[in-house]
Amino acid sequence: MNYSLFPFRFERFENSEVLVNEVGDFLVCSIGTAKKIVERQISETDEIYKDLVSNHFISTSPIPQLIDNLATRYRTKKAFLDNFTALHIFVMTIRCNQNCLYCQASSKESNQTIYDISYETLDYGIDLMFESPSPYLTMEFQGGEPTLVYDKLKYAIEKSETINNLKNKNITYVICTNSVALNDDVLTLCKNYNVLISTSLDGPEFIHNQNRGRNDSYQKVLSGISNARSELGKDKISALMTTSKLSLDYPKEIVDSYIENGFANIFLRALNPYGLVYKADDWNSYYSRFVDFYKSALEYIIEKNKEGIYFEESFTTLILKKILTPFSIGFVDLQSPAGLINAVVVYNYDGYVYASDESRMLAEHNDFTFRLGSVKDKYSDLFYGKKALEIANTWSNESLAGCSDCAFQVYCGADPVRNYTTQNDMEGFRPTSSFCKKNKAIIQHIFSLIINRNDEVMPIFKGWLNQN
Amino acid sequence: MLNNTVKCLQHNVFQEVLIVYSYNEILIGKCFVDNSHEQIEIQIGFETNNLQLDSKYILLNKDDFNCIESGDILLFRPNGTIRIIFSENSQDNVLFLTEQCNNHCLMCSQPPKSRNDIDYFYLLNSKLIDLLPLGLSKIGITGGEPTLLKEKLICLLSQIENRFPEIEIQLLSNGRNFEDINYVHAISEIGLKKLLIGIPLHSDYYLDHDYIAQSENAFNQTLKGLYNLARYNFNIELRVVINKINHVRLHKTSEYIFRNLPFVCHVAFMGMEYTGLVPKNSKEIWIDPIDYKDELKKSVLNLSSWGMNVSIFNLPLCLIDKSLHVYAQKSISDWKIKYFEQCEECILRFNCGGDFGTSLKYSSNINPVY
Repeated sequence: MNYSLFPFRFERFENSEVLVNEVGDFLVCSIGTAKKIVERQISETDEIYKDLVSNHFISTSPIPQLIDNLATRYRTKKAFLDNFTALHIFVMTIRCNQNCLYCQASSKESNQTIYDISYETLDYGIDLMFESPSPYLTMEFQGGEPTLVYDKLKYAIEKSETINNLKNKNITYVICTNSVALNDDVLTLCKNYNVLISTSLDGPEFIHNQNRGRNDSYQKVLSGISNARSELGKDKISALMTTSKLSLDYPKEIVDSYIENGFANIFLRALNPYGLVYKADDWNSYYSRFVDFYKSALEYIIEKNKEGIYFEESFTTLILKKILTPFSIGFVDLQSPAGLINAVVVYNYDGYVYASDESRMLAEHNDFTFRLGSVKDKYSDLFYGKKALEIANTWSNESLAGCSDCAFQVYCGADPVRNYTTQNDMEGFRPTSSFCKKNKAIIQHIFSLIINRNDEVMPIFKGWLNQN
Repeated sequence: MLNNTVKCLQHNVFQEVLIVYSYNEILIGKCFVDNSHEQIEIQIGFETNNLQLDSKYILLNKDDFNCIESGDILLFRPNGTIRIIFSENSQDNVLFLTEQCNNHCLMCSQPPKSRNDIDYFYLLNSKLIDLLPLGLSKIGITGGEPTLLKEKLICLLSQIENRFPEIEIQLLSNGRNFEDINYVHAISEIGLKKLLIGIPLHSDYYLDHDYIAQSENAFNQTLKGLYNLARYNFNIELRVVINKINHVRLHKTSEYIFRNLPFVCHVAFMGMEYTGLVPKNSKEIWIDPIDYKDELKKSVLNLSSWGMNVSIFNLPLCLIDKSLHVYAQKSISDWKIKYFEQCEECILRFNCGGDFGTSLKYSSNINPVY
């Protein structure tokens, strides 16, 4: 048969070959199909011929008739780029009242205000934030523990509100807090400005407390959450968990603790190799254990859903949305071009602007590779400057060796900071990349579930997708 | 415009008669029936050999025309026959724009004709729009293929928008001419608030679609048209008439719709009316709905689980899976609905939209549900 090929990639696992095209449409075929396609051995009378044409894998003309429609679909998949930077992180202080053993932000137990953001930096940072072309802004306050500098939190929000009277953007405020010190002042502030609270909960008491380096943290966090819920409404508080080495052995217990504490979802989050975490540890073994942990936890969550409890694993939902729907997701850690600068930027307490949250964590170790400049610099010099240009060389997985031909490219992302941190250059090296290994294993696992247990898992998965 | 409103004094009752005459063969008029009189009066103001009339009226004997109701708009044809082209009491009024079509679908219930009737129907409908009662809340526009009127369709739509800014319009088209983005732009400029465009999709595979439509390149043009309409935020209803050729890929077609056309506001899966071209193409196209029951179930539930708005048209409840009953609409016009003898015992009788009275053949699986 004479036909033209659309760009597509494939991966073999178990007994199938999964073909994926540029817009994320996939076909599950028998082994050897990709070869047959390329060698033009598919005949018009084969039913799969129809599948390949209709799903944009092959075309009867070199320039397909519906190429403009396909372009629209491609733009839809990349719609996260439309408005440029929406997430603006303000690191209010790196002082903290907890002592997490995996702390990624190199927090300090200190009263020294040199670790707090200055009013001047806030003013400059807020002005830069409003220069973003995005009609939607998320102003996220991080630390350290941002509630330790309540006055500055209040100042930042009120200042943004005042400026926004003229700018008319749609602003969402988020405070990332450990919830240990959610006092009335903070809650009133949240109430007045519709602030969302993102907190940390690592699972049951013994895991959470050990991770925090405190033996009363769990109780304090729970009472903080419960206070916040009754003051602000349940939907205003979300929790993030981080999987420490200890956590790896307790997938069910962690899921149960989330369900018991009234959460409808969990985000099974692996450690990032930054900050204080296990410096000398073998990350490879951690990540392969994490994948097993993820699979067991997901299996347990599927069971819970079958029992009639609505409970979602949020990372899975993100991947599912990429695989099963024509739409784009706004998850800064898994996109190409990468989230840094394009979707997120950080105004650090030190008066400098960084390309991402992880970038400022590197700076704590005196590595300023991803420092875009000072908050006093011009917007265009920061966001379109030399440094941004340098990072841009490696922020698209379409052009990275090992990613460019990966079947899961459309579902994955690029992470120059991670590559630089773990592999010493922004380009990275896929065969030994823990980021690659972990994401590939998870995406493949989700595919296996979709292929082998379709009737069982799809109603649950679609339920999660329709909530989002 | 030559229409005017006259008080009809001859019978000393308050009767309003609207008259129109224009163009040599188009004569339409609006009637008001007075129960105390034996005649229906329609003033027209010109002479014709085919009807008994004085200088101002067409008088119809009520006994001969007992189907005519007050507010009906009649078309008097040169051959002496009369057709009701609008009825105030009906929910299914349409403007019929042409008998021509650029598709020639195997299962078409109103086979297209090739006579050039564009100017005739344009003038007829232009007059008709002016006679439609103010406050009219909805109207259909159909053919043939209405977009074959090109600019004249835009004129008619503008005329409607002027007179009925709030009206709901359902325009049925095969979508091919919307391939021209300038045409789509021009329609959007009219500013109709509640326009729904119903467009058939026969398959996710272009050659199957083209074969069913009996037209080369129909699929590609329709798909381009759909994207152009979406660019201008038109409300689109996709219509999938299920037949022997496309039922095999019905589930794949549903997945295609979600991935490629998620912007449509409604998807209707439709049973076939055994009339028009269907008897002639029966061997190739006809299938008993019971034979695609499973495929239909998978397809409907798939789109619904993606949060899309799905309906089933023209299929009696006994021919679809129980889980699909909530999606079934009473879609067949009142005057066309047929129930069968065995339906009388059926407990679903009153929820069921029945079958086409106009069909020449039916499923052999229409059975009462107890």
